[in-house]
Amino acid sequence: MNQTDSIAFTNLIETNKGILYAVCNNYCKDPSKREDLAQEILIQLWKSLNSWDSKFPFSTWMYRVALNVAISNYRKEKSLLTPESLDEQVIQVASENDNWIEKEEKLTQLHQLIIQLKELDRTLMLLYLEGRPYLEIALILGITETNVATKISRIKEKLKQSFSKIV
Amino acid sequence: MESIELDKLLTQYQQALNKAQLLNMQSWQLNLKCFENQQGQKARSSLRPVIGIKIFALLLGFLWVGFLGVLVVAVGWKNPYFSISLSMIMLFTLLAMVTYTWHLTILLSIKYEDNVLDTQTKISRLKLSTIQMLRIIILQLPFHCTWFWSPNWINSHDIKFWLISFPIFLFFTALTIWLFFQIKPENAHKPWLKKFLSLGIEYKNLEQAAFMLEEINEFKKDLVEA
Repeated sequence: MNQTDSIAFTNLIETNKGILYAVCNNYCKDPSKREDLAQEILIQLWKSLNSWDSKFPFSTWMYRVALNVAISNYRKEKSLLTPESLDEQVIQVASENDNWIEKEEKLTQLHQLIIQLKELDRTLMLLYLEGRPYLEIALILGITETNVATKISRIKEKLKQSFSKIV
Repeated sequence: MESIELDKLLTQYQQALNKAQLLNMQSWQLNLKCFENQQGQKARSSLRPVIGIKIFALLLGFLWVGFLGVLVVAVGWKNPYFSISLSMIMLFTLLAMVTYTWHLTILLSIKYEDNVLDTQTKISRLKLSTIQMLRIIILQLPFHCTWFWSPNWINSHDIKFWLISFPIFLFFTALTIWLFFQIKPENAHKPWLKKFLSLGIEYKNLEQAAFMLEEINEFKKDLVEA
């Protein structure tokens, strides 16, 4: 490992570590395994570093590697995707404001609905909620920008309908 | 619920996620400084060991087929049961080797930095085709019960042939046909198959691969309809 490469790599990861946390939190509900997944992604990122074309954003490339590693190796079993697996911390943080009971209830329901989405739809929502541009989402997933927009609007429509049924 | 209301809720949800992630970050800091020392460790996602195993298996296959080929040429039609049995074993081994070579080409084309849909499709297909190879290998099972037969033995009305060897052949033929139709990803959850597969393949991988491929196809179908 070249010292300069190592420093450059560490700096790039440091700048984009939010991606690593988002993917690990989304694909690994067991906190004890999250660090393993992060380490796994880091190793894969380092091994694939030569394939990164600096003309394209590092974040797009990093998302691709991180998501592929997470989906391939840490895919949650269907049985784990139950409402009981709600990340209480998320809800607790969200409810530290006014109208917290109503807010907590709605966010819990939304969390349940998102968690029950199909794997690829959930991945799409993760990228959308992270605020990634449609073009970047398209490049990460391997679909067109128009398809990203259509898919997101369909998922949102589905969420709205599911919400209406609950409420 | 109105669209605006949902968008507002999604924004609040993302904010909550971000805050929760920040809290998590405090509990598990990335140890990037130690990363240099950790690179030697085995990555679960690494496909390199699998490539090595497949190349080794292919080499063994070549040796095995070569050995059988020499025997078939040496014996020829002197004992048709021997030659036909060994030829069939060779044929199914060769078919398995072709599948293995195909696996290798997929494995070499998998890159984690490629887009998610393509990479996941390749990985799922690869996992699923492992079960197909098992089905091919199993087809050679009955021929392992016939290579030692000879016309003289059969014509001699030896009771050992009709009461032991032939029924064993019939049993393994029936078992092979049954296994061929039973070994499929949809049956991977069945306890007997789990045990059988655990000899060489992790059934959970198969279940997940089948599930993932189904999901990718649905996702793509949805895009075509869009």
